[in-house]
Amino acid sequence: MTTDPAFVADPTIEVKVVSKWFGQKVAVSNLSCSFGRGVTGLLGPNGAGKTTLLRMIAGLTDVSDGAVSILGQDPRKHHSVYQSVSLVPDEDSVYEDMNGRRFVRYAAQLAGTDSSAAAVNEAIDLVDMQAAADRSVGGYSKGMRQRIKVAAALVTHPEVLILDEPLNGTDPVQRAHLIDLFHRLGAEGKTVIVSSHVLEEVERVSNRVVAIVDGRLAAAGSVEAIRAAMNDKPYVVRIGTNRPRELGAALFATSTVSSIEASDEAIVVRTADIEGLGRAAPGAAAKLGARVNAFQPQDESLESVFRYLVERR
Amino acid sequence: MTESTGAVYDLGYTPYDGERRGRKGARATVFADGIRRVLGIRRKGRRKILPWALLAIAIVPPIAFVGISFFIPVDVGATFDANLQHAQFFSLGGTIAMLFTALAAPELLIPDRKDGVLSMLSSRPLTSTDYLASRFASLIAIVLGFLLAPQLVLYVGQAGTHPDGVLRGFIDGADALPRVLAVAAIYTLAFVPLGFVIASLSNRKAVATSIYLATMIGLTAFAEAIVQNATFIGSRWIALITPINTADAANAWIFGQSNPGSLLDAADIHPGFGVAALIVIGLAATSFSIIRYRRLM
Repeated sequence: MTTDPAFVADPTIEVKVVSKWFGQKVAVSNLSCSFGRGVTGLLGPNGAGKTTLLRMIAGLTDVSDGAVSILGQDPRKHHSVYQSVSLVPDEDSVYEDMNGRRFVRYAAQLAGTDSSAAAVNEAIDLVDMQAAADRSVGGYSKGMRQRIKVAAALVTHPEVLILDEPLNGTDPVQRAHLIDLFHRLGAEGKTVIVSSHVLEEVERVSNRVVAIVDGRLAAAGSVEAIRAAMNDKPYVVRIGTNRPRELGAALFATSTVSSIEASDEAIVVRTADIEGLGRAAPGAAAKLGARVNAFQPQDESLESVFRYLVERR
Repeated sequence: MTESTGAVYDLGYTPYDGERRGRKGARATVFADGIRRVLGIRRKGRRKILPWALLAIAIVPPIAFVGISFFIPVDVGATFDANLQHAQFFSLGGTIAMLFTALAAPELLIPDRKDGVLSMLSSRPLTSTDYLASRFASLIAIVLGFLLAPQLVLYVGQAGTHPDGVLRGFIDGADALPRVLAVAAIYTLAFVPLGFVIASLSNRKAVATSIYLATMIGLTAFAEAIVQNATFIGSRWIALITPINTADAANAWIFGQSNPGSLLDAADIHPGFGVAALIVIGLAATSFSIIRYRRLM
């Protein structure tokens, strides 16, 4: 049994060393993780590769390398898997000239599930859209579109529900309603993945988070555990200077630094306290009369997610 | 003072153990949606005007013809040349079917891409080829309907006015049915695949309609200019790139009618070659559409 928090014991979705590139751009890089029953939050800043990952999981986009399986099958090869999967994409993905009720019925018919008025009504009730269900989708607000897309997914009674930024554009009441709905679906044993770039949303949706940045797996587990792990993790910072050895020796004397490598024009410092290092370096350089021309965290992308998760910036 | 109260109700989510129809059901749904979409069924009134007006234009002339035949007190059976009538109404119906394809092919493909619905369709038990085949089938069914409805009116009218009785009329008229079906298939082959390939490339319905009509008419004008004026060896074979002319020529050929002014006649090409060319063009256009949608879905 694995203890890596990126993986779950009884997965319904497995992502195995997956990469995806579009021409020169790498959208997802060597990413491995798994998802099981219950709700998982997929967190990452805009452009992190969340949508690409979800589209690969749902089989809408082929992987460039690696493998994805959903309910034990490759979604690109076994279309029958879609009888148990529903995707709510981030884009609008609704017919502008269709009313909400017909859109939900159409989704049920496409999935081959019960498309009776009662089944459609139930799905519409779940997202609290009964009042607007007979209006044309073209006149819906962003939040209403999101909810009718969720209804169109729920009417298919999926085992796996993949939601790409489903809370975008929803007001606080709608958001609370949808989050409660996701909890209930997760409690019923469905696999629910909810992506968001907003940490607070993900925290409310699920305690298990998979965080990606620049297409790589940046963190996984509960938000609290990730925060604790981040606090213990050393940062690597490159400081450009004309007197690397002297500055390195001066900084090594401070308690915040765990190791230093010096080269001709810079030092690479490992520290658990990047802010303390930021305060100490200018003073030490001034005492030595050294010039500092760069102060660069070596892993910019991870740095941002660490701050994102730990400090909520 | 009224105390404010509130409650949160658990709406529930009924577990579903019923049937899931799979690909077959999804294909049928996309097909039926396509039929409704192009005919404007369950859509606003303005969406119904054009398709139903075109259907009326296709069907009123044979109704009028049959009506006149019925009321004119002459030996109708002696003057009723069934082959000529079938060919003439196919010629009219073909033009209307082309106009209908120009409107319907973009309506079937473009909103799914423009409204981003392909993502939803892709995450259902439906391959890109299933999707395209279902949309294709919708258009083919309706174009065949446009082409065959006037012929059906003619067939029934012909039987009703037959001097030896209605039953004899139905039996005699049935001789032409294989030819009627063949010509309807040729017109469909001439119009539908090109309509689809153009609709698969444009993101605006009006643009796709205009490009389609310009292509169909432009190909004829271009081929006419080449066949009549060019002197290079083999220039006459350019006549094969004109779907309208080829379908008209095949129609006349199959019903044993002369087709004066036909480009294939002028190029001295047998209409059979024209049909073969239509099959090649149709297959190429269909393959292109399939490849395009494999990338999109």
